[in-house]
Amino acid sequence: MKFKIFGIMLLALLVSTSFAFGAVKNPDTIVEATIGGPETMDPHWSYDTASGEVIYHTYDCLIAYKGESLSEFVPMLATEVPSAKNGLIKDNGLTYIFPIRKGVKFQNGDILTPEDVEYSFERGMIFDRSGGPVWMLLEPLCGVGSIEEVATKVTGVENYGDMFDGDELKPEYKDAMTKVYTDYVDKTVEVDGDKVIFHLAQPYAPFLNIISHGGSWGSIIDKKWSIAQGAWDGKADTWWKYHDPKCEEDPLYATANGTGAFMLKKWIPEEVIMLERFNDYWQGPAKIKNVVIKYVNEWTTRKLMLQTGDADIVYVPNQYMDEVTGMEGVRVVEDLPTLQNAVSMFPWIINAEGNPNIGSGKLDGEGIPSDFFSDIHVRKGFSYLFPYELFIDKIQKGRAIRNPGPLVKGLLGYSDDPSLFYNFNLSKATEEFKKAWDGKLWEKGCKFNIFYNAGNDVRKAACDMIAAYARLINLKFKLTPVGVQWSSYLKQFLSEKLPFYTIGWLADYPDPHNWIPTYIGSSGTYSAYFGKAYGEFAKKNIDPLIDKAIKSTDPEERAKLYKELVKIAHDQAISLYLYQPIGHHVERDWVKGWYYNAIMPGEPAGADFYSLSKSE
Amino acid sequence: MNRTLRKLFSNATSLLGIILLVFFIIIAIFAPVLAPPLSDDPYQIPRMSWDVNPQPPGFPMSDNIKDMYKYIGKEVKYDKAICGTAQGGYDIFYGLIWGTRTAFKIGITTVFSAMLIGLFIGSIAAYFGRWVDEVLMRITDIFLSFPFLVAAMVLTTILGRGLNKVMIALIAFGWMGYARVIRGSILSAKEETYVMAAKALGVRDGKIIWRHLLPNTIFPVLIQASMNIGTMVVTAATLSFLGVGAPLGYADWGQMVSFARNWIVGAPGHAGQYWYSVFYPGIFIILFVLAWNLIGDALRDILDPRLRGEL
Amino acid sequence: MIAYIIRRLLLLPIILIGVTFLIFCMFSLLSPMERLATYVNDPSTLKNPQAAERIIEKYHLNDPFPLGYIQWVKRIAKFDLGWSQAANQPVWDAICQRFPATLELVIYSIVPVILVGIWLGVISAVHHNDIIDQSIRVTAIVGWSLPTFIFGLLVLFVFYGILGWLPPGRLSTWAQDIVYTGTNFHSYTHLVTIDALLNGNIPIFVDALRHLCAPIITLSYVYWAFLLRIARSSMLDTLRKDYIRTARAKGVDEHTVIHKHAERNALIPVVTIAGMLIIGMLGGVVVAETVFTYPGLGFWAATAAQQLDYGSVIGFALLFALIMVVGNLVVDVSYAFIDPRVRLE
Repeated sequence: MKFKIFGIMLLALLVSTSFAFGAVKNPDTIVEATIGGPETMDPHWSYDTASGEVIYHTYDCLIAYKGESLSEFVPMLATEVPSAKNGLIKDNGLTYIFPIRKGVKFQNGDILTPEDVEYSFERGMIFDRSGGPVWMLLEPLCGVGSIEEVATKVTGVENYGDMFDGDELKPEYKDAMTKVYTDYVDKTVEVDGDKVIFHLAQPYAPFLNIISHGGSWGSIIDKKWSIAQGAWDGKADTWWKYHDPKCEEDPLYATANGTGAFMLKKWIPEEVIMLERFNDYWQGPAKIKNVVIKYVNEWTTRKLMLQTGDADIVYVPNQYMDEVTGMEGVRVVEDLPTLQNAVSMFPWIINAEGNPNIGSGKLDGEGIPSDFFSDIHVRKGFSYLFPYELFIDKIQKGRAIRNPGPLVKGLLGYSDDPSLFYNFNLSKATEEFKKAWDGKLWEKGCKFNIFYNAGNDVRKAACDMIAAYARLINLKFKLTPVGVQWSSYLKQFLSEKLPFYTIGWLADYPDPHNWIPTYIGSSGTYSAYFGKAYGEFAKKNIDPLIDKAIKSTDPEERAKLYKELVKIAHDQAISLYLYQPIGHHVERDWVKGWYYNAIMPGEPAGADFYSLSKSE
Repeated sequence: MNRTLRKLFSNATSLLGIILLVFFIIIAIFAPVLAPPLSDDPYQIPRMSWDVNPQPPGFPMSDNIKDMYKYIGKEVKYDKAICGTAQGGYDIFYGLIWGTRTAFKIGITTVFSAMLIGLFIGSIAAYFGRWVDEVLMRITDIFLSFPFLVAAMVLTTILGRGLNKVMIALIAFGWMGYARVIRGSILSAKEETYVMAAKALGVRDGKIIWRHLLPNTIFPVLIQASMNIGTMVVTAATLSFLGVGAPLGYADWGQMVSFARNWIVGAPGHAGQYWYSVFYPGIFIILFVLAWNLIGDALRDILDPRLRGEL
Repeated sequence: MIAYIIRRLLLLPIILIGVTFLIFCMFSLLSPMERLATYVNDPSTLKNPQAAERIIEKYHLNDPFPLGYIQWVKRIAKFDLGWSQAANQPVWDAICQRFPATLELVIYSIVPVILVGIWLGVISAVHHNDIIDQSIRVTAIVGWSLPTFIFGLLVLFVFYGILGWLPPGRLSTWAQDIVYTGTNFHSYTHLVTIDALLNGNIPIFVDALRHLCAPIITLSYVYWAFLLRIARSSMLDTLRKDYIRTARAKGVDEHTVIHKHAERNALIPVVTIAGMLIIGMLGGVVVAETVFTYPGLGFWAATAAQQLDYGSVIGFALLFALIMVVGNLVVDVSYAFIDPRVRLE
């Protein structure tokens, strides 16, 4: 009996609290429910959208994109946007000058100085964690891809690690290593009165785009505070101790002190981020007081949070969009152009050593030779074999478009010329495959594994489609889709063992230079692993054009060059260009002031919380 | 033995278990007839459409998939998803039918192998006693120091996805119960005169265990085994549900339930619109396990000497 | 009895070595690159062969088997369990952060399991073989056969999808705000319900309870069936004992016989088994937490397993094994106190 009463009381309590909500829930808080939390709070470590989204709001850059634009800038911590016209870009694009705003406060009360700006960029360059974003600063400023490259050049050792004895630098290298800072890093960024001057190693068209990227490498940090936290002390003969640390040992890993509109209040990894308005923000305080970003991987939960108004902004995967369109009190913004794509790769030479993925390693119907994809007819055959429209319609629910080559829509040099697209055409595919390997492929067949990263159902479906249609045109074409865990996927593709795999790219900055070299350059993030034969091909046919395009400051000439590169990618069928997603944004209709900027970090579309407010 | 069987058939609950079990056996045997495979690997569930969303029962094969099968010379015997399709266009009906085979495969293989290991270790420990017993039983204790599901999950994760890996993990952490039971039985049986006599006659140890001890002590182990088949199948299904079991698209009930997971609530105003995606695979798992548990429970009651004559 | 306890304590280090060794063996099944990945927080670090080499050296990943084991145990002793990809933080931090949530769930689940399980078990035994007994037993078998994840999804569907009463997660947004960052809210125990009561904050207590209900129902459902079975057979045994027969023969009324005489003695083994049950619940926690996205150890481990985040999974296994070992010890020792018949085997 006692239990019964207790039970009834409990039930009453539960029911009563579940229906107690008013018109606008949490009126001064924006709650976002999304997936996958941030890795770090350190701007120079951050290279993922989740970290970027938080850091975007806690730190500011010198300049920023203007609203929705990807080409116009507004001054932020600099008072002017440099241009050739106002004399702040000089020496044919080798010198950039930023006058620094006065009286800007950091969240701990420190006042922003030009030294902070200098420190921010130099700290970024010496920090340069492996796999991090800082190559984007080093490439224009030092002309190299990593600080270790500079160090090995100056000291003359073969491997960076050889200079160290455990964690300690061997004494004989100390002077040379000090020089890395004094002769290179230090000279790239200089303070002159209340101005900061950047000296570039080469003219670099997208430099302003790089500097203006919020949420990562472009952020300005507080020198005094950073040193107090234990970050690099600013000295020339210590920098290597602060280079490439472990994520959680990085002093700025879990703390933040920027000039941004929001302060980091609490971070529970993979659970929640809480931000609070910074009342002394130099542009005036934000309209809302708190931001809560919750990391909820389960779709059902996110949906109900949206439905009940517990969340204001929710990440909705494509296949569930039907469930939120028409939901009461919810606004859906569609057709947002994104700057990302997914591409399936055909490595020209596959590492055959102990590689079960290519079967017998011969063209005998029980495998494929390691240079299988170096035959253009094979690549073209597969390019005709993929049902692009069906894929976009059924798997992407119509929320994607196709790309000609590795360049996405919205960037310089993009073209939707129909001749630059392969269409799903089984007879053309058959024709190409019959020509491949002098007809031997068609006669003997082939057998190999094709790859997607485990858990990615979209890519799995793409693999299933390719495998199904390959079998359809020739029963001897045996492709087996295999799902591999992400880290192993990455490792296998880096060791060039995957015959056919899908990978994506998300823009760091809205310039074709961020795309073309990545996918087809001889030392691209992806294309460097296409094998030696491809490297030679790219060095001859692609690299010169890339080089010419980055050094040119004339947009028309650049556009022409990139178009040419896209055409090569198409004609050679270098990869299978799957799709470019079209984004969407789902929010409660009491959220006001949201706008879209494709480069703003966030999945699938970022939000500038500073501009948001909540009202009926 | 006959008495046991008679009792099994006369008890309402165990009879229900037997009927259910026969139903599943029939499905498993006639799987190729009920759901003719469309690809080389019959355990790969065919897609009825490429659509990522689940489709209701009666949904016809679409997106030219039928033409595709025709083209490669496969006869499509049924072109409707009788029980609907799961997320990703997978045919639920096909998955249920072939999933039955998977369930039997998992249940019988794992229990049989684990029982063999358990019998081996337990009987050796009990027969030789002293330090052999001590060492083997401490090893058993060590394996028992892991919650079963946790241990299976960890080992499967490390071995990698796939049904075989799941089975290895289930066997590796599933033998200890048998070892303990057989050890207990043999400890009391080995003092019996017929064992002593065999020893005195110089019969080899292995032979004594195999010929004399095991036949007289194995019964409790068999009961335990019959009850464990259900547990093994549920654990395997749970692993699939957690995403570390069968590979994507494999005919496995646990995975089919996990497919349903994001669709369980449905669009607002259409609560339960995707009921079929969880209902069919769910009910199959429950009935399968129930069948084994009913039989096992009845067997235990019949054979447990303490309760003998009570029922 | 003291000899028994000493013997039991002496066995502890052996079991501990065995358990860690077993986990290390599992760890060694991984390829060197995968083992390496458990200490690296960004897989792209692996692109750099020198960086990889440095880490291999630092963590002695290429050492021969026994040496590798010793190095590994040394690192564990320093709580260095590697990096959790799934939690985006070191494994040990992830464990510390999630442990209270799981503990809270388990503590609350024990209550209904023991009460309902024992109560039904006793009823079943008292009404041995009649309709009540049969129906309780059938319910128990059905419960036993109902996989936790299916039952959990059912609860989620009914109580959240249709009724909207029991939300998943651990706290609502407003409550999270107060608990995590509120200046007036002190986390003494990190068990939210207890903390809420200590702070005198009833709304938070209710909110936490609402979130706990569904996983508790799910977790306890499976285990009460198990406990019922044991309570029933123990009670049946006791009811057949001589002193009960004597009491009945003396004419003591049935109520007193059952509740005063039989129940007390029958429940001694049940209580100790309940101790083991609590430990056994650790397995069920994985499923219950995953279904309801309850941010505890189980949810984390399941996520990690999906992502093949070996570091987390190994750390999780280690933790649960240690809890099991210690828990078993406590249960055995307390059993020895309760039931003096326990001696050297």
